[in-house]
Amino acid sequence: MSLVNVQEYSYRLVMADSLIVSQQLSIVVLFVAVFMHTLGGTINGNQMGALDIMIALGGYIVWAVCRTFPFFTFFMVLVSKRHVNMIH
Amino acid sequence: MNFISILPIQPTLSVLKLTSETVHSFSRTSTEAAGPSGKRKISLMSWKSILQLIGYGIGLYVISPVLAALTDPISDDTIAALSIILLLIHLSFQDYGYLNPEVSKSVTRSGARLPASPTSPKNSSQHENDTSQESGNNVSLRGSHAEISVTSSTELYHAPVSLNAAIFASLLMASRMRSHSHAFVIIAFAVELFALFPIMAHHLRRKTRVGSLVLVIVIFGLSILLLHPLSRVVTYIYAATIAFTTFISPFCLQWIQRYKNEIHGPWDEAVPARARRHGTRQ
Repeated sequence: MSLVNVQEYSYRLVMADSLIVSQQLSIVVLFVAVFMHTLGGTINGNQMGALDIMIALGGYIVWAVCRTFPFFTFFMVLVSKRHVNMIH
Repeated sequence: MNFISILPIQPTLSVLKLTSETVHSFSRTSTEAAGPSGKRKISLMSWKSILQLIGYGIGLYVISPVLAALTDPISDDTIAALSIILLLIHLSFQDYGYLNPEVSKSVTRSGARLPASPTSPKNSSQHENDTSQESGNNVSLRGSHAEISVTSSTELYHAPVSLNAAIFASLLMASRMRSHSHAFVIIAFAVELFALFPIMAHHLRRKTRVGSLVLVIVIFGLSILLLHPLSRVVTYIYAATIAFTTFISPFCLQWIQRYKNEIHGPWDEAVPARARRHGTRQ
């Protein structure tokens, strides 16, 4: 029988994980804040619609870039290769 | 008066069902399906998904007059209390394993999740020796005799309780709006934030950690910016909560870890040698 403490957490990694919880909390707060502004009349319907479209488009672009990331990397390598000097 | 008897159930259920179906379809589309040859098939969005999204938008707009008058006989206090409870349920039951794909790198077999190292502990290297070849949502472990196909549990966004709670809360909140167009845009905003945003955040975090960090900072800044004119006290409480969650909680976990001991002995479950070599359980 052995009694050992086998795990040692890295503070940086745990913090990176807890950022996800903060992100979700921020999402909820953002929604409530936007709702309160819309209810109070600070943000009107047109502005809200524009915000919806902007978020949808932005989210889609980020998602699409992430999905096709290897192709973008390949493209960037091709573009940047002419600036690289090969020394033999 | 009974709350359930007042609330029109049918439109609420319709919206929840539509949202769940759309998100499930979208999440399934966004996973990288591996073909029989093992090649990754990248499909950005199928026509079916696009049509489903358009249909969802039109359906939501058509029933938005009903949704705008959904909770007229119910008082504001009840709606506020219920919304807070539902949003807390949303936060509690969120699929954080999906949102943080690095955490759940452990391979599962027939949907059951193996105990993963939550934050990649330094000394536990048994998972790092895993010889599995991950290809999208399918993971194949090649043994000497047979090829075992297992599925990672975090490839699909699966948080039905959380999603339904958030959409239901947004329905309740949208029903306090002045016009049906306001109700429509609020529900659309809620669908983007609570249903589609996690899928995007998952893919972003898989590709770049810096991008994910920037996203969190942008959302935090926006929240502070919008919350400050409403209430200064709430803004401070929110900032303090975020600081506690992000900086103090990890410190507490690290500090309390020294008091946790793992006891090994003859009562431990036997692990077959072949399974240990491949880094998984048989």
